[in-house]
Amino acid sequence: MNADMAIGIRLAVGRGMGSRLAVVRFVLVVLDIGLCVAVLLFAAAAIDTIGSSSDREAARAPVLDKRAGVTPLSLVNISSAYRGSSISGRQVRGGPLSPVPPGVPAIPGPGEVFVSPELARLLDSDPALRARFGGTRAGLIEPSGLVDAGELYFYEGVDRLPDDRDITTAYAFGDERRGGTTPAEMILVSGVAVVLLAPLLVFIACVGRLGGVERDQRLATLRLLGATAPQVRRIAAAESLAGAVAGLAVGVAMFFAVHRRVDGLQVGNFRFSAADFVPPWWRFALVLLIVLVLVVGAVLLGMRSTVVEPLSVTRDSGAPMRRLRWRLLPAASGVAFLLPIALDLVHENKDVTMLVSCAIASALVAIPVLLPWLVERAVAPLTGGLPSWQLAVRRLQVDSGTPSRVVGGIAVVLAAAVGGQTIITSVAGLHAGTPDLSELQAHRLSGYTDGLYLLSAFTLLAAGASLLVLVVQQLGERRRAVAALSAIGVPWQVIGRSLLWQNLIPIGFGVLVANLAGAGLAVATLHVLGAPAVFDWRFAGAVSIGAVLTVCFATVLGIPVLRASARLDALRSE
Amino acid sequence: MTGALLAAVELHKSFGSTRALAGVSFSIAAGEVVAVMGPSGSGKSTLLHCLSGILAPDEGTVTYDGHELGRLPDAQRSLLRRTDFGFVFQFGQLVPELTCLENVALPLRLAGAKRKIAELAAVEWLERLGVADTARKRPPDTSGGQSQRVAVARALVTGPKVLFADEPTGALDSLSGERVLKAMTDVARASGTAIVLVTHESRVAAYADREVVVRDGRIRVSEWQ
Repeated sequence: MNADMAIGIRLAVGRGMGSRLAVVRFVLVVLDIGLCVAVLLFAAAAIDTIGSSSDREAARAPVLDKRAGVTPLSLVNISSAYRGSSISGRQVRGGPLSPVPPGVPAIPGPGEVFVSPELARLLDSDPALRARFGGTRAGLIEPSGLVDAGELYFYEGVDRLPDDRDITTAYAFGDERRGGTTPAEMILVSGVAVVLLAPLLVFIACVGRLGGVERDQRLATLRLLGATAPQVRRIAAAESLAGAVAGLAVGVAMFFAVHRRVDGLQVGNFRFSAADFVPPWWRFALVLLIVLVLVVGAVLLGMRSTVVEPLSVTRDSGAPMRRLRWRLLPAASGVAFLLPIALDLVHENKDVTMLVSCAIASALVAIPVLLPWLVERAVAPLTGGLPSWQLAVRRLQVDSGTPSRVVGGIAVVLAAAVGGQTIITSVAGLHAGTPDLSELQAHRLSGYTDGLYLLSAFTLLAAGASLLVLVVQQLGERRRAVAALSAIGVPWQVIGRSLLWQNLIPIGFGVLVANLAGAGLAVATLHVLGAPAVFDWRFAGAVSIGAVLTVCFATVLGIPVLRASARLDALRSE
Repeated sequence: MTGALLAAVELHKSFGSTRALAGVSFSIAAGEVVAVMGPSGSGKSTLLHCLSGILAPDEGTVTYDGHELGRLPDAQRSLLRRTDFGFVFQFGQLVPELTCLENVALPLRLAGAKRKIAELAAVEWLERLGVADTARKRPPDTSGGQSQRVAVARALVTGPKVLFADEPTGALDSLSGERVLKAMTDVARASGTAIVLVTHESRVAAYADREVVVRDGRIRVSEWQ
């Protein structure tokens, strides 16, 4: 057993130390897994960031129920605009027995003001703004009293509260019913988590399975030398494990390197605080474990239908075309999750939230599951055209699985981004002009939009890296065929364009399916929330173009490898 | 076929509608070198694969050391390949990721030997085949002739009873080919290893004790040299 593991790891290391192309491939795989792991770790931490800002928001919400022995604190919410940002705070008046809001040591006396660090910085740099806050600065509000590190917030002590404002009488602070996450937000947050996780896991599984042809040859040789079938599986698992472990190490290093720089980073209205971006150890460990299991699992699963014999490797490809029936399952289950809501069978908020979250997750899973089938059906009848087109179409007709899977991952990101943005735009539109939509809720909704852009960008980056690995890998495996094309006079530009078509055809379908699915998801979700859908076509267009450009960019980056593969010495057999 | 180490009786094998073997019987004694000759597509490689248990014949039996290969489970046949059989093919059987030394040590490591012990034995075999200088190189960095001798070393490192060689010099120039053949047959004879040598070249067959000619899936001639 140990010897098999050692041989597998030795093969993986050997792969990384072999030819220059093999080194490039190994490094790309490790970097790609690393990038995915880093994004996953940030996602694991971001759940807490969103949660902790909600918690802090709830912690400073006033409790209005009367409490014995407490002198209530009277307060008025104030908000004003400052150079596109919003400064908000509370004017307060209380006594020695009044409750103290979180983040401040005491209730400010008349003429005293506690400000957030970011507001203090602004006040120090802008005399005009300072003139608007006439009080004496009594101190800074601690992070526990702020939603995020960049919040512009204050508590001002006054003698008399303005008559023309609603005065709130607080008997305590920390009302969980207010300021907490709304069902719509919960759907968004769980949706975002799925968005982030699903495609990254698809990429990792794809990248982990790459190198199939070469691996098959190696394993066949091992069988010839007397390795048993279980031994060969153990060796293959150990081999993939080595790449995964290296990827994990790189991912963890990336996470910590970026983590130190994230402190104070402003994205839209949201300012990150490094302290919030530490996932609990168990979630950290879980991410690493999932990635390891996924890489090894994908290899072993891929080998399930493979019979490694001493002379060759045969694959049980099953039906000649992909079957549609089971591929419809996730889409069907998505509809099934929405049915109880449509039929008015559930009323509890949390049940509705759970069902809608499940429906979103199912619909997103349906995309990469359906896309390979769709691409395969779509390219099957294609013929003719320019040589580059013909080469690409024929290649896709033989095997469209791997490009479709990676592109499926990109499509998931797109669908979720388009769907998420539509929900945000619509929910914000619904609340516009609604007096009870707090500043913070508006603030958070805008933060979600920024977050969505950021997450889409990161995941597209990971997708681009995966696609590059795929291109380089494919060129390595088809080196002889590429060299043969070159030998008969096919210019490398034609081969390059065929490579581009090979990726553009699936992404074309991906973009189409993603936009339809994203819009469909949003409509369904908003219907449940009782809001009309408002589509943000500019956002959809931007991320769609981003996805197509990612594919083009990844393919262009693979061109140097293509030119190396097109050299005629690749035809030498001895 | 008395005293045969490996014997095949009335082997039939077809691939779809193509008949590769049509009733071949064959035997080889311990330490004997037999050349299996014939033109391309005559069925000689299929015979070798059936004799070594890699392919199961449609009809007929292959018996090795009293055991019928067709009745052995996969694990037993794997064990035979690890301990009693060795293989040398035309090209492509070395693992390019491993050094030549590690390639030769690989069968011993698959059998559970410690790395150092396996590599000591590998060094010895590389020396016997005259390619000790390739130990730290990877197969792509060696010449075709060197690669084949490394492959022979790997095939013999476990002390097999039978070495199956399928066109072992087919991808080499004549001088390199001669060197590989001489080294292979000398070393195998010294260790008492029988060789089934598939070839279509008579100069290669000249290294054998006996040659059989396969044509259209049948043995046509069998003669002692």
